[in-house]
Amino acid sequence: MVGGPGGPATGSGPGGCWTEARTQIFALLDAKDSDAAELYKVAVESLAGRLTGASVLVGAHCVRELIKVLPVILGYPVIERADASRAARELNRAWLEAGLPRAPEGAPQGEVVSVPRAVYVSVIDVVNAGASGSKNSRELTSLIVTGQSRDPEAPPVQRVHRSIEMFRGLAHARDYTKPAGPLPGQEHLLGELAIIEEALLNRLANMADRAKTVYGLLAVANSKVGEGGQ
Amino acid sequence: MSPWSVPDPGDVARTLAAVGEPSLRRLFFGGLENPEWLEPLAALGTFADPGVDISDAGRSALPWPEGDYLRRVAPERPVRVRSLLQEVVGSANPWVQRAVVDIAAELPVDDLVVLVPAIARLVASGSDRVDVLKSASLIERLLDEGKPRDAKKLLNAMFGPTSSEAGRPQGSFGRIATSIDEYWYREVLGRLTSRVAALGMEGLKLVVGWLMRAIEIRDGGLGELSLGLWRPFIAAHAQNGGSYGVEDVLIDAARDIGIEVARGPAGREAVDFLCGLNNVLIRRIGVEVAACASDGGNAEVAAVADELLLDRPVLGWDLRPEYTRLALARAPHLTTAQRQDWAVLIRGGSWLPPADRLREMAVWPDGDVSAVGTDEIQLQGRQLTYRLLKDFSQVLTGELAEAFAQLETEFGDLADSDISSPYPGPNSLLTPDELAGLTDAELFSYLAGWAPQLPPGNFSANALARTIESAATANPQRFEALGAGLRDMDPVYIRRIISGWVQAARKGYRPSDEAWAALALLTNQEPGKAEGNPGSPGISLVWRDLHRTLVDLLQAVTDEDSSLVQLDHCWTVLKPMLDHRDPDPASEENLLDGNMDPLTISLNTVRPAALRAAFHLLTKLSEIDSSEAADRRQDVISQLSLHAGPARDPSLGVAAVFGENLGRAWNDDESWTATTTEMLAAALTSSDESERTWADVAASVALRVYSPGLAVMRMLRLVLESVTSQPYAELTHKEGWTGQRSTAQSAATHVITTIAQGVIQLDDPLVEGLFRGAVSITDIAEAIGHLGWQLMRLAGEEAHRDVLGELSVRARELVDFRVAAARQGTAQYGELSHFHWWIRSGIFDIAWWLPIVAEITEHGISLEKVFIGQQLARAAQTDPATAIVVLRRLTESTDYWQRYDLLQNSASIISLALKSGDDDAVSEARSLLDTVAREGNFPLLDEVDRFESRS
Repeated sequence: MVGGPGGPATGSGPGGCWTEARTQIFALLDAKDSDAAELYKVAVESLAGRLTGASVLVGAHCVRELIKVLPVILGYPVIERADASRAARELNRAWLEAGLPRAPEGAPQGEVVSVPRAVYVSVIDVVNAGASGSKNSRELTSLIVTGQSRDPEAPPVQRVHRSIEMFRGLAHARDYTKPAGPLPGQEHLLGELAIIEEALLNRLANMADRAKTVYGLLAVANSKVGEGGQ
Repeated sequence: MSPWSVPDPGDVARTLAAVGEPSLRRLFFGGLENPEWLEPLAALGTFADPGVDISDAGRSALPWPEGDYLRRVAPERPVRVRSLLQEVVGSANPWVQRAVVDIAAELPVDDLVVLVPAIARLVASGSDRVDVLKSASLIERLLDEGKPRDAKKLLNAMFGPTSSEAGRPQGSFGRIATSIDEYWYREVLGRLTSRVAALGMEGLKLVVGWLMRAIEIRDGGLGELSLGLWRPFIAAHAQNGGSYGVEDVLIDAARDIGIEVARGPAGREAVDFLCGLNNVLIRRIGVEVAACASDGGNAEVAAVADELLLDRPVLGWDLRPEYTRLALARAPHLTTAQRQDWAVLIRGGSWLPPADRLREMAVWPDGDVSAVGTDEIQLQGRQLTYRLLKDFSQVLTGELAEAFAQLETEFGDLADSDISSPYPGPNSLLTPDELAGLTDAELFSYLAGWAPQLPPGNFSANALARTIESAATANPQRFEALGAGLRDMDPVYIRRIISGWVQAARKGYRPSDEAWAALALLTNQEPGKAEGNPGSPGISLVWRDLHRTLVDLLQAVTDEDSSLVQLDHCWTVLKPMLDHRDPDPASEENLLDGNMDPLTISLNTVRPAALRAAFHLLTKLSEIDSSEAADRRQDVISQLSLHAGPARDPSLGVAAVFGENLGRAWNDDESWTATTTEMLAAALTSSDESERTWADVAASVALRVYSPGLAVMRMLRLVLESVTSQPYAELTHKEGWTGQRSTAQSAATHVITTIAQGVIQLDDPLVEGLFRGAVSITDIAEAIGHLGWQLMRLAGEEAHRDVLGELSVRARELVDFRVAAARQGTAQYGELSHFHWWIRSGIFDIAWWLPIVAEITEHGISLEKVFIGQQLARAAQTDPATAIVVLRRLTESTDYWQRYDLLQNSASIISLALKSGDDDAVSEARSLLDTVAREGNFPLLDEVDRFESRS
């Protein structure tokens, strides 16, 4: 793989993480919004430095926030994520009003359980909020990857979405009542970050330069054994 | 071992993210060749069906550039590519559909056949994205590589006709639909004929099955009531006409495949199959196949051909053309015994129509059938036998040859043979040479008595009349001998004689005094036969056409002659035509409803055409300096005055003629014309709609017909003031001559152009009126653009170079005047949206036009056409910063497909801007590069690189 965010470091930052491409992304973000640039900087340095549970949490959180603000600073139409918490609050209210047990152990036996109609309707709201949230989230990724929200199923969108979702998953504090799990590998984290960074470059950088990058990618991809590609 | 490098899955994932932008995806998959990428890409779902996007804006299909890569690696990874295709072959996305066929063509045949059923469904669905020629190539491959069953599936999908009522609009012919359009149906089936014939009887049955299905669909279940499918010849023939579309193609295919199959191992089985089907058309194909294939040395085919020759039903009228060809092919090869049998069959007359039919034929069209005796019936029988034999008389021998010789003695020449010209109607009974050979008396007597023959004859009065027209053109004097008798002839012939005289008049012919007298009698002919012209009761169509042609003759003589004698004759005949009833209000209304504009109506109706001829006559009379000519002129003017205005003649066709000829009248009688234009100018803003409409038509035609200039400005000034006024803008108007330019545009063009000519100045009230706001910005912009276009044309003509200097100076002052007004807020920059013509003219300094176009585009106005790439590239040599700004604005405000010329010249402009050292110019250039790259115009990026590397 030539160049790119995960390419050779140019010196500065933890582990020499500030490659030419990362420096470019930071500058491009900074030109649009300095807070966004700072989010990116913290994400990179948290994930590329000495990896701890806290640094993964901070890095992932910064990635999540950056993705959230990106459409705004790029001037794209805002895609609202569905308000799942409102639906959950409604369900909680209906549940309690129906006098249903809060602990799973209190649930009645049997495959089928009867609940009052108000509870059933609230459950549907929660399901719809979840589905809508997933769809909107994918459209948001599509905006970042392709510049359009209408192509959420495109393979590149799906792949970038997977990376974003992974960081979203890591952005929550772990359950301290349970033993700590193993930290994700740094190479894996940086690989996933690089996938997001490629998408950022497409949105932020000059497309003529990106075309040259693709010519470079093609040269490597089309290489034969012994020509330097492998 | 694969020579290709194997990618790391992480790199594949990152690359996929890097090419997320649609244009980059196209770039990447358009260039990726390494088959080792197939598996990791497939694992990421890269080749999934993108589907179709359905939104409020309609259906749109996302591109599928991944298909390019699959096509490239298909030969090396056929099994994997095939399995990936199987997952998307049902896609509704046309890009995927197209790619599936393209990629399948690259697969080995064993992988291809797995996809055939799905591809057949795709083809049958009529997807316009599926490449017909590539589908045909797939069929050829399948046939060549021993997969006939699979080939037949695709053949059926491509050529099997269905009823269009089943909901396939594409390729519909009447009620028949096919999955490909008629052009490709004909081309591709023709290309595949030999391959299908190689399938033998199977191929023949396949095509005949399609034909039977097509016939069944066209019959629409009428069965015996159906008129069936008929064409003159099964063999290729100019008269076949191809009017049936798909059926004609299928008849040709069945015939050609039948002949090839019959010449092959199947032999007579092919003929037996075709002749054994219960359909006349297919049996005709069978007889044709027998006739053509019997020369191939196959004794069985020759035998079946001879059997058909001696088969009485084959002698029926329906099969006659093919029977003739069969007789020509087989007669020379018959044995003595067969020749005798043939003679017995034909002379026996068992093939003739029944006696009742022969009776009807004997007294056709309206004789008494009961009076027909045996002798006359036998005479008809002998005539029909003669007709039959005549078409293949050259191959007759023995008894039949003798019988034919006797019949020929009895009946002589038969001009209308049964077979050579079986279409009714298009032919003349007399050739021009034959007509020339008749004496006058014979000719006139013939024309008085001849009537078309019994159907299905092939002659008509109209066809004969056309021959007469040719004769009258070549020898006009001959028909003058008719004298007053001209009036008594069939008007169809009279019209054609006059039409011949029109053409002769343009070559110098002048009617004699006798001819003029005969023509004058025609004008008195009351066109009272109402039948045949429901739109105009009281005027028969044939007499109307005759009178219209007569007016043509009068105008032709007027235009070609300057003698008072001939002009006097013209006026004598023309004067009564000025009051001709055509067009009456009802028929003119019909024509207007049919979308014919008034000027076109005036060309096709009698009274307006006569008035036009009168204006021409006025011009000619004004060239003659004599008191008689002056008197005649006064008479013509008086007559014209009787039609000036809707109250006197409400016809809009007449109004169009007045508008067209105001200039002629002006040259002759300025005062009369001034009165007329004054009336028109006032009526243009009248609240009386009929008065306004008449004036609209006359004024709009005048403004379109006459070029701007001093004389026209004097003549039409009042009209121009009216058209550019606010009251005019508030009313609805009628165009007299439908075209691209409206009356207001034409008026604006007159004002703008005369400014450049120096006829009027910028402070003229007309100029002020034009820009006051009543005339739309679009019309003004078009008029200013038109001036630029005229300057460009003049610049290209050496003869006009001398006037160009002053014109261009005044034109430039006009544009400066409008730009200054726009800066002050009293005009809009949109007035200059056609400024592109000025730039293209090449006569203005870059230093003048470049800032103006920059200023226009800065205010959000794009040019209507952006083909100024070359001029902008030249401008970039001296002012790259402004040129790049203009280029970017025009690029961003114009649809991709309209900016070809700009793009062709963009690379040098961008390159000059990048090298200019001006930060703003560099930034603009980079911004433009980003735009073109996002649009996927990578060749332009490459070109910019080449320009940059040259420096």
